[in-house]
Amino acid sequence: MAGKVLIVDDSEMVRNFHSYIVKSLGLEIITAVDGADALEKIYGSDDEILFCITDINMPHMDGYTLIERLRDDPTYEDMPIIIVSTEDEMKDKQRGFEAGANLYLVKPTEPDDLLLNIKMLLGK
Amino acid sequence: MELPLEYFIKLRNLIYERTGISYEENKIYYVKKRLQQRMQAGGFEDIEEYIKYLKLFDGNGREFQELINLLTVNETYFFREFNQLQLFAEDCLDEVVEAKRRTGGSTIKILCAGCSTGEEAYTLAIIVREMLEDFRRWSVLIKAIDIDENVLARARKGIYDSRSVKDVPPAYLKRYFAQPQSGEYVIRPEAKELVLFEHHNLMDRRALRNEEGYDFVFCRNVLIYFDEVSRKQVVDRFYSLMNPGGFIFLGHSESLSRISSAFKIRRINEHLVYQR
Amino acid sequence: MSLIEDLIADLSSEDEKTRAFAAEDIACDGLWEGVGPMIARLEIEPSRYVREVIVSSLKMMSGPELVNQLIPCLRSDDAFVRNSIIDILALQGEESLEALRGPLQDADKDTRKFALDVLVQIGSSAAALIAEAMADPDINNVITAVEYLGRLEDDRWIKEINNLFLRSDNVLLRCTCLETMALIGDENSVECVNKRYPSYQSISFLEQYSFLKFVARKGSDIHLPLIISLMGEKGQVMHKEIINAIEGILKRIPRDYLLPELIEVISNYLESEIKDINKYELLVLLGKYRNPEIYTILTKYLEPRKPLICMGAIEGLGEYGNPEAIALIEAIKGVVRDEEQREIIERSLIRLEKLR
Repeated sequence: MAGKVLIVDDSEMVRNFHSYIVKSLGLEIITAVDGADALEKIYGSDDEILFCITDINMPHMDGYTLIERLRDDPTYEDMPIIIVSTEDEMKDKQRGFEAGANLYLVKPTEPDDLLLNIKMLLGK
Repeated sequence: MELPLEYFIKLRNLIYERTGISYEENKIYYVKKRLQQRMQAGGFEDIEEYIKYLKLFDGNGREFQELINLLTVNETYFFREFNQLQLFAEDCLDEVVEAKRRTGGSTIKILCAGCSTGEEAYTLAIIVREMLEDFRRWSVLIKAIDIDENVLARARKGIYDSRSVKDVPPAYLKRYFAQPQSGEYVIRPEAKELVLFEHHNLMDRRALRNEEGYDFVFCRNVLIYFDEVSRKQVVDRFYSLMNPGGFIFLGHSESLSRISSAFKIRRINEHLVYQR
Repeated sequence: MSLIEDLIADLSSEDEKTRAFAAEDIACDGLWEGVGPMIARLEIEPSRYVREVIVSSLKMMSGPELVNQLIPCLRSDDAFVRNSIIDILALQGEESLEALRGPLQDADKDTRKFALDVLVQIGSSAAALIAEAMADPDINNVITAVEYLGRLEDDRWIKEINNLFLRSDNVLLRCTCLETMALIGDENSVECVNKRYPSYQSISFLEQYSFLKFVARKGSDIHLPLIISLMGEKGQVMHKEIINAIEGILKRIPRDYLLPELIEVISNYLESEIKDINKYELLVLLGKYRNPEIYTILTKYLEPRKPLICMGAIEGLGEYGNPEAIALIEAIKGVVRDEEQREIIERSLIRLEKLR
């Protein structure tokens, strides 16, 4: 599958971890350290971004704001987005839904769980 | 000196996180040479030690700033970073002008911040004159500011050497520069009259508070000399003096995302631009 | 009205600029009574620009009064506010340490996490408090504590980290421990790793990456067979980690000759689809060793059309020390324009000339 997956998290460890999981699907990845960096990577990418896995709490720009800005742009309003966050209350998930995320997973993700969710999201 | 790729990448990431400047991998020699200089100056034996110092012990960021100063090229000339200027000329200017035509506006204001000896400001003047077909009906102001009175004086004179004009397209060179003697190029009134040079200190919070209505801000390769806090204050100030829909341009290797999220990001012709 | 009262009123002005300038002036003039109103405004301010100016302004102020008013904001429902407060508190440095003890014990695990985020930015004076979080009931905070101790490169609690690595059945925690042990590990760390992974099949897929990172910093020749096996299976996808691991081990234990298996691994990578910069690195590495076949490999990559790879070969040949390469490098020199590259070529040639 052409295109890349964007992984957004301010923790290098988590970025790496999610990267390893996604790479096991044979997909290529791009990483970003926060929401603002993510926007630059998305708009600056010559490749299609297949989907995005993002944290919520990050410096410069949080995950909700990232998602809202993407959804404001017709070009990216359909990009599949998975939130992976430590926060697990209903109000956080509700916020994620309102921002426009497709899925919300709680950290630390079980690798198989993340993989399954990705497959369901991409429809394969 | 050894510069294993892993450490080059670590250093590169550190520089990016703190300043928004990025270095591509083919710049490894460029970075290595200057890194070596700093390490020698500070008595650092290996790169691991140096990076650790930068991360954990360089309290006031002085060493980091020395490194950045060494890494950034300090030259100025006409039509520098041509691709970005092309984007401005062919897309951004067009968009702003068309919007103004629809609403009956007739002024175009550009801020050229950190203008130094004026090459960028005059470059912008040339571009605007060339790109606006109905130039006569527009009131164009390019305000070029700097903290250094000496460079402003030189900018006002508008006399340059062949090194400065090496990238000027030949047709523009002829049209906008007089050549009173060999190797001397003097900017002609057609471009000169669009530019107003003023003395300002960007670090002064009251500077530019009364300015408003700018459609474009150019601040290229200037913010790298500021610390993080000041950089942010300056960019926020730019935001406040811009019109909605106005464009801000930093140096092509500088990233606005590290500084402010108030602007909207867009992609135009495979380039990233930021807009108020 | 006094100046501060005016400014506080301006924080609610209809005009964006007025609100922003008010925040700046409150901060620049050090007007303490303005802190509370600025924080309150932050929660309801609709303009991103003004929000960011308020945060910048708060960052310019300092003192215990500021810290005390900011701590409750760690519990804000607004992600921007929470994350900005973390940055502001971190700038207060050790002033914040005492005030953070409360949040570090908060019933809400997320509040405890945010406190850790402040601590890691404060730096090594906060390490002890971070280390306490290794006993946090929430696994995320344990993982975070381990990660942050690695970031601070503080090895005072390595024993506990080694134990966590051995005992834990959480993959992410084990990976985090490994990567932190890579930075601050001791001999016991190596023993723990060898114990947990007696063979390469016992390393789960996700842990392989972190294992390689550990080996790059702390491994030795005994780990080489494991790396070579991994290369067989995962060569392409893990190439960066494998190359770093090999380089790390070789660097720590000087030798003149490479194992033939290693030369084969490196040759395969040179022929593969990995990025030019990685090939450059491998060529430079090869030059350090004396195996006769290395000369042939290096000369093979003297292709001016691939500048980075070519430079790697030239550097490698300069280091390798066979003067026969001089003629080949001279030929390349003619077509290179880049100043820095020409310097490198010169250096290699000078070196080789001395050996002629």
